[in-house]
Amino acid sequence: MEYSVEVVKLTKKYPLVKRYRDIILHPLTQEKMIALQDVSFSVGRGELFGLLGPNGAGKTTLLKILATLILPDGGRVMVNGFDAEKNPFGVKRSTGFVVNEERSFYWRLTGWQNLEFFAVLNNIGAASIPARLDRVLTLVGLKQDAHRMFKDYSAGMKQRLAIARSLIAEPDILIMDEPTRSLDPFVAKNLREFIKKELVEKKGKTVCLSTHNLHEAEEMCSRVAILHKGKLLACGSPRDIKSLLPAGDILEIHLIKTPGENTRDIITNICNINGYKQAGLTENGKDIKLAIETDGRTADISFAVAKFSEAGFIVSACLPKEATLEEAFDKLVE
Amino acid sequence: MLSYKLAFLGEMAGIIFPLLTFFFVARLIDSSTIPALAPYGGEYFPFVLVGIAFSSYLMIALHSFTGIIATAQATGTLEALLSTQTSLPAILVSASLFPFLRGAINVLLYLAAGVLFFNVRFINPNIGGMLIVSVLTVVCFASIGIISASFIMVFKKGDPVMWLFSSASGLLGGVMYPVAIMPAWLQKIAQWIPLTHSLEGIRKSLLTGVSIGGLSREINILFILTLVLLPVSILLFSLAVKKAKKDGTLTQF
Repeated sequence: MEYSVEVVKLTKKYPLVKRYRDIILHPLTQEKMIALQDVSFSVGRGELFGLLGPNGAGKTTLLKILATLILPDGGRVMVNGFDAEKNPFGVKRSTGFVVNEERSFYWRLTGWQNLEFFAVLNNIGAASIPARLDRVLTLVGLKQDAHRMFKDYSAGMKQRLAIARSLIAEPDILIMDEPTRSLDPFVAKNLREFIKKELVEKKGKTVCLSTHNLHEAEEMCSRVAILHKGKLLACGSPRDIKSLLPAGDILEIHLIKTPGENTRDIITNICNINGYKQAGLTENGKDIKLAIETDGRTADISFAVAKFSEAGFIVSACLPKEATLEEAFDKLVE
Repeated sequence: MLSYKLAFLGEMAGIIFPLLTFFFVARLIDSSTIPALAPYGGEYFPFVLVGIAFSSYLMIALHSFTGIIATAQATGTLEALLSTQTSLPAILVSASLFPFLRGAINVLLYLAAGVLFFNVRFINPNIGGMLIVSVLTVVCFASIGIISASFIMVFKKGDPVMWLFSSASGLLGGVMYPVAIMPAWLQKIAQWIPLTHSLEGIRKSLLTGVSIGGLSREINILFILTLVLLPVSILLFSLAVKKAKKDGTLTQF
């Protein structure tokens, strides 16, 4: 398979700031903080790949290494066939880095003027700049607002302009550092759809994005890598990651209640008598979804089903509950 | 847009007011009693006019590179600039063109103000010689500016290069007074400062119309300094960028 991004045993350590006392007493020693340790993964062409992890996991460091803004201490990073350390300009020609920083624009220029400036720095000929800007601004839905000053843009518009900027040079690969951070849920949802449908599915771009929003990663990414304290804990499709949790630990029982019953008390009694720990209970009209932890005692489940039936419930389904990415993430990070 | 116009007007006032100050100071001085002024035409005000005009230009050369980096770091645009296909040195050089151009216009304005409002006369000036000295000076000072930017890139604050050159050039470079009036040991130190030779060459060419041959000492010194400083500055800057990328501090300030 041809890869857009290949990361092999990537290691990055940051020097810690020394106090004056340490500079005098130990001038030659330098303590370092591990940001990334032996991280290896690859991203296929046209893939939407997510880097997941809590704050300080090493996501931004990894993306900045991909964008050649930080040099690694060990390992190898290949982007579109170019070595990020040895051929940074090859990498820059292939990538667009979406900086999650609204200050990365010139506030007193219009959106158009900002893009024009960055187009020149991306070696785009003056004659082709207007058509190129027109295209990217249309793509991100900012054509109508192109001649407004950047300072008057909303947070969502600023983020869209950042994406437009990364697309000017028509790169194959987009690197996005938390693209939906600080956006309201509605704008974030639109942006997620835009990245997935327009950039990846229609334009065939490879997108590497970081997020600590697990729902976002599950919704968008074909594969994710989970980073924690600089280490890669898991890498695969969200389904693969979720399957890392032992199956059958949580059982979901779908019940239909009969009118007039004190449902919750009855369910709690049945669980208590049989030693099941409730992991969730939701009611929607007559429909009840009960999640219980079975601790692997699958033989007791038929007994529990019988007990619910005896209590007047109709048991419509009983199936192992699929873990969410969040649950898998929590388990891995533990 | 209004703020830009205001800034421009402020800059114009910044040219006229110091000249007025030195014009009145010059009235206190009997130039004919100061032999050190003789090689420059013998009058104090034209001497100081050229000193102020060109030293301000040289300070632009010294400050523009660090200013560009520090501003881009503080405003948050540096990361976006570094993500483009243009190299950082190329960005620095192109971004400094405007300050250099503005500085050159300021020099002309200083000289024009001297002629129009303060009755300064440049008799048979050697414009060609002045341009050669100016170009060498700008490249030489720009090299020092790039060395200074390398320090800013790595240490972020407290740039010793800038401090040393600004202070030493102001004190010893002969901006306000001839180097010859200083004690002998200070005159020796002044010979190591590029500004000393720049102002010497520019004053000789503008105020006394010395030929290119008469400027050979200044031109040679500035040429050697440029030959040494330019490659050193480029090497130091590339090392500084590499260190900042290694430490992950490229965009920090």
